[in-house]
Amino acid sequence: MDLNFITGLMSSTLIMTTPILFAAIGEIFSQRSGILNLGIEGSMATGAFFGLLAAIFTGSLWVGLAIAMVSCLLLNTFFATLSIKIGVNQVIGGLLLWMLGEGISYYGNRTFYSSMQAGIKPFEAILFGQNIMIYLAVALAIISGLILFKTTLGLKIRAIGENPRAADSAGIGVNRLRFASVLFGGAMTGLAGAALTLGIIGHFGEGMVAGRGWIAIIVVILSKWNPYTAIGSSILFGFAYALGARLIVTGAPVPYHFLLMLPYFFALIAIFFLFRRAKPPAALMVPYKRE
Amino acid sequence: MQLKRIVIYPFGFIAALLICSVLLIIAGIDPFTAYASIFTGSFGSAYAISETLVKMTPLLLTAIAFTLPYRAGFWNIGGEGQLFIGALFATLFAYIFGGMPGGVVIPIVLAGSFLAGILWMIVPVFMKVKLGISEIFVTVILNFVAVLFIHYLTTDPLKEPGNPNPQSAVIPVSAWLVKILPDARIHIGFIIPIIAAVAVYLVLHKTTFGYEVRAIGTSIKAANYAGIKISRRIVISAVVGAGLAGLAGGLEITGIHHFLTARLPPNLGYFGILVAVLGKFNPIWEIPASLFFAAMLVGGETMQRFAGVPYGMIYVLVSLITFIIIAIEKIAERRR
Repeated sequence: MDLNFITGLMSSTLIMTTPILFAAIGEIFSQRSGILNLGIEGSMATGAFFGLLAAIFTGSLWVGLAIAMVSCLLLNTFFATLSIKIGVNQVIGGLLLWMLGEGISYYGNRTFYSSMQAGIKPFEAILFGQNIMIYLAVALAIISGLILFKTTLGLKIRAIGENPRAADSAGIGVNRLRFASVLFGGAMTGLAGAALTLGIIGHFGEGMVAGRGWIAIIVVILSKWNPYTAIGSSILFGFAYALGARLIVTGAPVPYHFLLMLPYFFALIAIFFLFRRAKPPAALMVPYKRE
Repeated sequence: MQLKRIVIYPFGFIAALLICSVLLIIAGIDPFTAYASIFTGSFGSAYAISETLVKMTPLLLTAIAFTLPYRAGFWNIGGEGQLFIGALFATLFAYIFGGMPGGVVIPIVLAGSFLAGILWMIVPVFMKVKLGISEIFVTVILNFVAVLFIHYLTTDPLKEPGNPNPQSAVIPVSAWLVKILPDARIHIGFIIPIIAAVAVYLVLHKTTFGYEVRAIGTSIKAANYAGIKISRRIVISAVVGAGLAGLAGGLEITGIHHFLTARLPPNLGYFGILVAVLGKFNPIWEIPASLFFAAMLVGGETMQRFAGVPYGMIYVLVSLITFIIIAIEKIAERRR
C-alpha cells in the first residue's frame, strides 16, 4: 500500500464525510426534540436536485446551497405537519417523506433533463486539498453543539424531547419548538444533498444518495445524539464510502459491488455492537398533546 | 367508519391530483391528458387490466409482508431486499429442480423463494428479539445489500454468457407459471396474494395466535401480563411476513421475467408499505389498496410514454394521496 493511496484515501474520506455529517447534525436536533425523521434519505435527494438545478440556472454554487436548504425546508413542513400537528406515526410519516423526496427529485431531473445533464463544476479546494464543505460541516457541528448544550434554546430543545409535559408547564411551546427543530433538520438535509451534487460530483443521478440518509440516522444513534461525537462517527462512515471508492479505482481483486457494500457492513457492525448502549431521548416518537 | 372512508378516500385522491396538476402545468403538460393516460394505461383495455393485475401481485404480497409483523409491533421495512433474495432463490431452485415435471417444480421453486425471505429476516429478527436492537435500520440496510448482491450475481457468476444485459440465463420452462391470456403477461400466480391476504386476515382475527399478535402490537406490557410468549409470536410474524415478500420475488421470476435481473420493478417493497398504510393494516382492505397502487404505477408508465410526464410524478402522486388520506383520517379520529 503506497503513500499515494493513503493520502488519497484520507482526502476522500473527508469529502465523503460531509453529506453524512450535515444530515446527522440536523437529525440530532430533530430527535433531541422528540421527532424521529426517517425521511432524510428522500429529503437529501430533493436537496441534491434543487441545489444543482439552482446552481446551473444562476451560475452560483452559493445560491445552489441556499435553494437546496429552502426546498428541503419546505418539503419537511409536510412531514412536520403530519407528525407534530396531526400526530400520525413518525415512522410512517418518515417513509412517506422518503418516497415523496425521491419522487420529486426524479420528476425534476427528467423535467429539466437537458440542463441537468450539463452538470456544474463543484466547489474548488481551498485548504489542505479540501473544499469549503467539510469546514462548513465541522463548524456547523461545533456551533450546533454549543447551541444544544450551552444555550437556553438548546436546553429547551432537550427538555421537550425528554419530558414535554414538564417543559410545557415551564412555559415552553412544545410543538412549536419541535416544528422548528424538524425544519432545521430539513434545511440541513438540503445542505447534505447539495454536498453531494455541489461539493463532490457536480452531477445528479437518480438513487445517488445511496443510503447516506439512513447512515446519517445511524450516526446520530452512534454519537449518542451529540453533534461533537457525530463528527467522529461521520468520518467513520465517510471512510467506508471512500475506502470502497478508492479500492475500485485501484482495481482491488474484489468485485466492486462488495466494495460498494462496505458502508452497509460498517453500519450493521456498528448497530450490532453499539446500539444497545444507546439511550434515545425519552419522548422520542411520542406525539405531544395538551390535556 | 365504512361510510367515512367512502368520503375520505376520493377526497384525498382528488386533492392530490389537484396538487400534482400544479407540478404538471409548471412542466408545460396538460394535466387532463396526463391523468387520462394513467386511466387508459391501467384500465383502458384487457391488456392494461392484465398489466395492473401483474403489478398488483407483488404489491399485495409486500403489503402483507409489512402488515403481519407490524401487527406484532415489528417494523419490517425490508420487503424490498426480501423480494430480491426471493427472486434469487427462485432462480436457483428452478435451475436445480427444473428437470422435474411442472406440477412439482413450481411449488418447490415458490417454497424456495419463501425460504429466502425467511433467511434474509433471520439477522434482524434475532437482533430485535435477543438483543433488543431496533429492526428498522437493520432491515433497511439489508435492502441496499440485497440489491447490490443481485447486481453482482447478474453481472458476474450468474450472468448468461454472451448476453449484453446483466441477467441470468432463462430458467427451465417447467418452472414457468401458466399464463391466463395468451397475449398478456398475467399468470395464475396472481391469485396467490389474494389467498394470502384472506388467510392472514383470518389468522389475525379468528385464531388465538392472531389475537395474541394483535395484543402484542397494541401493548407489549399488557401482552406480557397476559402471559403471551412475546418473542416467539414476534419471530413467527416477522419470519412469515418476510417469507411472503420473498414469495413476491419468486412470482416475479416464475410468472413474468423467467430470469434473474437486478432490474426488477424498483421500490415494490416500499410501495407495499404505503399500500399497507392505505389499507389500514388490514389484509382485506389491502386488496383494493394494492389494486389502486398497481393501477397508478402501471398508468404512470403509460403517462410517461404517451403524455411525456416523467415517472417520478407517480411517486409524488401516490405519496401525496397517502399523505392526505392518513392526515384526514387522523384528524377525523381525534374529533370523535
